[in-house]
Amino acid sequence: MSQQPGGPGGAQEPSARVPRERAYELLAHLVASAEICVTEPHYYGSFRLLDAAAKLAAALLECGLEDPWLASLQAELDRNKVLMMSDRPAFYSYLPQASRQVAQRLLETAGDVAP
Amino acid sequence: MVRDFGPSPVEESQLWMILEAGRWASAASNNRVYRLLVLRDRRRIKLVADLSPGIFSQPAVMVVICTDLQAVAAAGLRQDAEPTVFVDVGTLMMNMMAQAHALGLGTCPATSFSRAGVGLILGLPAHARPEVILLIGHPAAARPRILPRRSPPSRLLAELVYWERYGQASPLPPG
Repeated sequence: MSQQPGGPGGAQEPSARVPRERAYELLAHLVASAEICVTEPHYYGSFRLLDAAAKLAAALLECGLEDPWLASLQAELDRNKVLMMSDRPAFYSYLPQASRQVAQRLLETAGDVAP
Repeated sequence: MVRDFGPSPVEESQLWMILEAGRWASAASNNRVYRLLVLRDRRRIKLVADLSPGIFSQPAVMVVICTDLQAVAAAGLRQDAEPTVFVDVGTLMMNMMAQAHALGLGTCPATSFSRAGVGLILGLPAHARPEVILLIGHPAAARPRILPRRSPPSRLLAELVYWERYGQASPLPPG
Protein backbone atom coordinates (compact mmCIF):
# COMPACT_ATOMS: atom_id res chain seq x y z
CA MET A 1 0.00 0.00 0.00
CA SER A 2 2.07 2.93 -1.23
CA GLN A 3 1.44 5.98 -3.34
CA GLN A 4 3.20 6.31 -6.67
CA PRO A 5 5.54 9.27 -7.07
CA GLY A 6 4.67 12.01 -9.46
CA GLY A 7 1.71 14.21 -8.56
CA PRO A 8 0.25 17.41 -9.96
CA GLY A 9 2.86 19.61 -11.52
CA GLY A 10 5.40 16.85 -11.34
CA ALA A 11 5.85 17.30 -7.59
CA GLN A 12 6.78 14.26 -5.57
CA GLU A 13 3.72 12.84 -3.85
CA PRO A 14 4.14 12.05 -0.18
CA SER A 15 4.13 8.34 0.31
CA ALA A 16 4.08 5.68 3.00
CA ARG A 17 4.92 2.02 3.02
CA VAL A 18 2.56 0.01 5.22
CA PRO A 19 4.00 -3.27 6.54
CA ARG A 20 2.06 -6.43 5.80
CA GLU A 21 1.05 -7.00 9.43
CA ARG A 22 -0.47 -3.51 9.66
CA ALA A 23 -2.27 -3.96 6.34
CA TYR A 24 -3.61 -7.30 7.53
CA GLU A 25 -5.01 -5.63 10.64
CA LEU A 26 -7.03 -3.31 8.42
CA LEU A 27 -8.06 -6.20 6.24
CA ALA A 28 -9.25 -8.18 9.25
CA HIS A 29 -11.23 -5.21 10.55
CA LEU A 30 -13.00 -4.74 7.23
CA VAL A 31 -13.77 -8.41 6.65
CA ALA A 32 -14.96 -8.97 10.23
CA SER A 33 -17.11 -5.85 9.95
CA ALA A 34 -18.70 -7.21 6.80
CA GLU A 35 -19.68 -10.34 8.73
CA ILE A 36 -21.10 -8.66 11.80
CA CYS A 37 -22.86 -5.85 9.93
CA VAL A 38 -25.38 -8.44 8.74
CA THR A 39 -26.76 -8.78 12.27
CA GLU A 40 -25.94 -5.40 13.79
CA PRO A 41 -28.25 -2.36 13.55
CA HIS A 42 -27.92 -0.62 10.18
CA TYR A 43 -26.22 2.49 11.58
CA TYR A 44 -23.34 0.32 12.76
CA GLY A 45 -22.36 -0.08 9.10
CA SER A 46 -21.55 3.62 8.83
CA PHE A 47 -19.78 3.49 12.18
CA ARG A 48 -17.61 0.56 11.11
CA LEU A 49 -16.65 2.30 7.87
CA LEU A 50 -15.74 5.53 9.65
CA ASP A 51 -13.76 3.48 12.16
CA ALA A 52 -11.99 1.72 9.30
CA ALA A 53 -11.23 5.05 7.63
CA ALA A 54 -9.72 6.32 10.87
CA LYS A 55 -7.66 3.14 11.21
CA LEU A 56 -6.43 3.50 7.63
CA ALA A 57 -5.43 7.11 8.23
CA ALA A 58 -3.68 6.11 11.47
CA ALA A 59 -1.77 3.35 9.73
CA LEU A 60 -0.58 5.63 6.93
CA LEU A 61 0.46 8.35 9.35
CA GLU A 62 2.24 5.91 11.67
CA CYS A 63 4.09 4.56 8.65
CA GLY A 64 5.53 7.93 7.80
CA LEU A 65 3.04 9.63 5.52
CA GLU A 66 3.46 13.35 6.07
CA ASP A 67 -0.01 14.75 5.65
CA PRO A 68 -1.30 17.22 8.24
CA TRP A 69 -4.72 17.22 6.58
CA LEU A 70 -4.98 13.46 7.02
CA ALA A 71 -3.86 13.73 10.64
CA SER A 72 -6.57 16.28 11.25
CA LEU A 73 -9.17 14.13 9.51
CA GLN A 74 -8.17 11.08 11.54
CA ALA A 75 -8.62 12.98 14.80
CA GLU A 76 -11.98 14.24 13.61
CA LEU A 77 -13.11 10.77 12.54
CA ASP A 78 -12.14 9.29 15.90
CA ARG A 79 -13.94 12.09 17.72
CA ASN A 80 -17.13 11.92 15.68
CA LYS A 81 -17.54 8.19 15.04
CA VAL A 82 -18.50 7.57 18.67
CA LEU A 83 -21.44 9.95 18.29
CA MET A 84 -23.21 6.88 16.92
CA MET A 85 -23.50 5.64 20.49
CA SER A 86 -24.22 8.91 22.27
CA ASP A 87 -25.90 11.31 19.82
CA ARG A 88 -27.20 9.62 16.70
CA PRO A 89 -28.64 12.74 14.96
CA ALA A 90 -25.24 14.42 15.33
CA PHE A 91 -23.62 11.28 13.95
CA TYR A 92 -25.85 11.33 10.90
CA SER A 93 -25.11 15.03 10.38
CA TYR A 94 -21.41 14.33 10.48
CA LEU A 95 -21.45 11.73 7.71
CA PRO A 96 -22.04 14.12 4.74
CA GLN A 97 -19.75 16.64 6.40
CA ALA A 98 -16.93 14.10 6.34
CA SER A 99 -17.67 13.28 2.72
CA ARG A 100 -17.53 16.94 1.78
CA GLN A 101 -14.18 17.34 3.55
CA VAL A 102 -12.72 14.39 1.68
CA ALA A 103 -14.22 15.57 -1.62
CA GLN A 104 -12.69 19.00 -1.13
CA ARG A 105 -9.33 17.41 -0.42
CA LEU A 106 -9.63 15.28 -3.55
CA LEU A 107 -10.23 18.40 -5.58
CA GLU A 108 -7.28 20.17 -4.04
CA THR A 109 -4.90 17.30 -4.71
CA ALA A 110 -6.24 16.26 -8.11
CA GLY A 111 -4.58 19.12 -9.95
CA ASP A 112 -6.40 20.86 -12.76
CA VAL A 113 -9.94 19.57 -12.29
CA ALA A 114 -12.76 22.08 -12.36
CA PRO A 115 -15.50 21.34 -9.83
CA MET B 1 -17.30 0.01 31.68
CA VAL B 2 -13.79 0.54 30.34
CA ARG B 3 -12.88 0.53 26.66
CA ASP B 4 -9.32 1.83 26.91
CA PHE B 5 -6.93 -0.47 28.75
CA GLY B 6 -3.38 0.03 30.01
CA PRO B 7 -0.59 -2.53 29.56
CA SER B 8 -0.36 -3.75 33.19
CA PRO B 9 -1.10 -7.46 33.69
CA VAL B 10 -3.94 -8.77 35.82
CA GLU B 11 -2.70 -10.67 38.87
CA GLU B 12 -3.35 -14.40 38.82
CA SER B 13 -5.17 -14.27 42.17
CA GLN B 14 -7.45 -11.50 40.89
CA LEU B 15 -8.28 -13.47 37.79
CA TRP B 16 -9.24 -16.51 39.86
CA MET B 17 -11.47 -14.35 42.07
CA ILE B 18 -13.23 -13.01 38.99
CA LEU B 19 -13.76 -16.48 37.56
CA GLU B 20 -14.97 -17.77 40.92
CA ALA B 21 -17.47 -14.91 41.11
CA GLY B 22 -18.77 -16.02 37.75
CA ARG B 23 -19.15 -19.56 39.00
CA TRP B 24 -21.49 -18.31 41.72
CA ALA B 25 -23.75 -16.44 39.29
CA SER B 26 -27.39 -17.44 39.20
CA ALA B 27 -28.12 -19.98 36.47
CA ALA B 28 -31.41 -21.48 35.42
CA SER B 29 -31.77 -24.99 36.88
CA ASN B 30 -28.06 -24.75 37.68
CA ASN B 31 -27.46 -26.01 34.15
CA ARG B 32 -24.49 -23.76 33.33
CA VAL B 33 -24.26 -24.59 29.66
CA TYR B 34 -21.54 -22.01 29.09
CA ARG B 35 -17.82 -22.57 29.05
CA LEU B 36 -15.14 -19.94 29.55
CA LEU B 37 -11.94 -19.70 27.54
CA VAL B 38 -9.35 -17.46 29.21
CA LEU B 39 -6.77 -15.72 27.03
CA ARG B 40 -3.64 -14.06 28.39
CA ASP B 41 -1.25 -14.63 25.49
CA ARG B 42 -0.70 -11.16 23.99
CA ARG B 43 -0.40 -12.57 20.47
CA ARG B 44 -3.69 -14.44 20.66
CA ILE B 45 -5.38 -11.43 22.24
CA LYS B 46 -4.14 -9.25 19.38
CA LEU B 47 -5.42 -11.66 16.74
CA VAL B 48 -8.84 -11.85 18.39
CA ALA B 49 -8.92 -8.05 18.64
CA ASP B 50 -8.00 -7.76 14.95
CA LEU B 51 -11.16 -9.71 14.13
CA SER B 52 -13.31 -7.80 16.60
CA PRO B 53 -14.37 -4.38 15.32
CA GLY B 54 -16.09 -3.78 18.68
CA ILE B 55 -12.81 -3.96 20.58
CA PHE B 56 -10.97 -0.64 20.62
CA SER B 57 -8.10 -1.49 22.92
CA GLN B 58 -6.32 -4.72 23.81
CA PRO B 59 -6.79 -5.76 27.44
CA ALA B 60 -4.53 -7.94 29.57
CA VAL B 61 -7.12 -10.71 29.69
CA MET B 62 -9.95 -11.87 27.48
CA VAL B 63 -12.57 -14.33 28.65
CA VAL B 64 -14.42 -15.83 25.71
CA ILE B 65 -17.79 -16.99 26.98
CA CYS B 66 -19.11 -19.78 24.82
CA THR B 67 -22.36 -21.68 24.83
CA ASP B 68 -21.48 -25.36 24.77
CA LEU B 69 -24.07 -26.85 22.45
CA GLN B 70 -23.35 -30.35 23.72
CA ALA B 71 -24.17 -29.19 27.24
CA VAL B 72 -27.28 -27.49 25.88
CA ALA B 73 -28.41 -30.75 24.32
CA ALA B 74 -27.54 -32.73 27.45
CA ALA B 75 -29.68 -30.37 29.52
CA GLY B 76 -32.58 -30.87 27.14
CA LEU B 77 -32.63 -27.21 26.15
CA ARG B 78 -33.44 -25.75 22.75
CA GLN B 79 -30.55 -23.46 21.91
CA ASP B 80 -32.63 -21.31 19.56
CA ALA B 81 -35.65 -20.91 21.83
CA GLU B 82 -34.43 -21.16 25.40
CA PRO B 83 -33.90 -17.65 26.83
CA THR B 84 -32.06 -18.91 29.90
CA VAL B 85 -29.08 -19.82 27.72
CA PHE B 86 -28.50 -16.13 27.06
CA VAL B 87 -29.75 -14.86 30.41
CA ASP B 88 -27.24 -17.09 32.18
CA VAL B 89 -24.41 -15.70 30.07
CA GLY B 90 -25.53 -12.26 31.24
CA THR B 91 -25.62 -13.12 34.94
CA LEU B 92 -22.25 -14.87 34.67
CA MET B 93 -20.70 -11.91 32.96
CA MET B 94 -22.18 -9.34 35.32
CA ASN B 95 -20.91 -11.22 38.36
CA MET B 96 -17.43 -11.22 36.89
CA MET B 97 -17.68 -7.53 35.97
CA ALA B 98 -18.78 -6.60 39.48
CA GLN B 99 -15.94 -8.60 41.03
CA ALA B 100 -13.42 -7.04 38.67
CA HIS B 101 -14.73 -3.58 39.51
CA ALA B 102 -14.38 -4.35 43.22
CA LEU B 103 -10.74 -5.23 42.56
CA GLY B 104 -10.13 -1.92 40.79
CA LEU B 105 -10.05 -3.46 37.33
CA GLY B 106 -11.93 -2.40 34.23
CA THR B 107 -14.10 -4.61 32.05
CA CYS B 108 -15.96 -4.41 28.79
CA PRO B 109 -18.23 -7.00 27.18
CA ALA B 110 -17.71 -7.24 23.42
CA THR B 111 -20.22 -8.86 21.11
CA SER B 112 -19.09 -7.22 17.85
CA PHE B 113 -16.61 -9.79 16.65
CA SER B 114 -16.39 -12.25 13.79
CA ARG B 115 -17.68 -15.55 15.16
CA ALA B 116 -16.15 -17.37 12.22
CA GLY B 117 -12.78 -15.64 12.45
CA VAL B 118 -12.42 -15.82 16.22
CA GLY B 119 -13.57 -19.43 16.21
CA LEU B 120 -10.81 -20.28 13.76
CA ILE B 121 -8.11 -18.31 15.58
CA LEU B 122 -8.95 -20.02 18.87
CA GLY B 123 -9.58 -23.44 17.38
CA LEU B 124 -13.04 -23.60 18.88
CA PRO B 125 -14.88 -26.87 18.30
CA ALA B 126 -18.13 -26.71 16.36
CA HIS B 127 -20.16 -27.18 19.54
CA ALA B 128 -18.63 -24.10 21.19
CA ARG B 129 -20.55 -21.00 20.14
CA PRO B 130 -18.79 -17.80 21.24
CA GLU B 131 -21.39 -15.41 22.65
CA VAL B 132 -19.41 -12.59 24.18
CA ILE B 133 -15.82 -11.69 24.93
CA LEU B 134 -15.26 -10.10 28.32
CA LEU B 135 -12.25 -7.79 28.32
CA ILE B 136 -10.48 -7.41 31.66
CA GLY B 137 -7.58 -5.13 32.50
CA HIS B 138 -6.39 -2.02 34.17
CA PRO B 139 -8.00 1.15 32.85
CA ALA B 140 -5.60 3.29 30.84
CA ALA B 141 -4.39 6.29 32.77
CA ALA B 142 -4.29 9.83 31.43
CA ARG B 143 -5.73 8.96 28.06
CA PRO B 144 -8.84 10.44 26.51
CA ARG B 145 -12.09 8.58 26.94
CA ILE B 146 -13.07 6.63 23.86
CA LEU B 147 -16.72 7.28 24.54
CA PRO B 148 -18.28 10.39 26.06
CA ARG B 149 -19.82 10.01 29.49
CA ARG B 150 -23.45 8.97 29.36
CA SER B 151 -26.41 10.72 30.94
CA PRO B 152 -26.75 10.66 34.73
CA PRO B 153 -28.13 7.33 35.97
CA SER B 154 -31.03 8.98 37.81
CA ARG B 155 -32.52 10.29 34.56
CA LEU B 156 -32.03 6.92 32.87
CA LEU B 157 -33.68 5.14 35.80
CA ALA B 158 -36.82 7.25 35.48
CA GLU B 159 -36.94 6.40 31.79
CA LEU B 160 -36.36 2.69 32.32
CA VAL B 161 -38.47 1.81 35.33
CA TYR B 162 -42.26 1.68 35.38
CA TRP B 163 -44.35 1.23 38.52
CA GLU B 164 -47.32 -1.08 38.86
CA ARG B 165 -48.42 -0.63 35.23
CA TYR B 166 -46.30 -0.67 32.07
CA GLY B 167 -45.54 2.93 31.11
CA GLN B 168 -46.47 4.39 34.50
CA ALA B 169 -43.88 6.63 36.07
CA SER B 170 -42.97 6.60 39.72
CA PRO B 171 -45.23 8.77 41.89
CA LEU B 172 -42.15 9.88 43.77
CA PRO B 173 -38.90 11.42 42.51
CA PRO B 174 -35.92 9.05 42.30
CA GLY B 175 -33.84 8.64 45.43
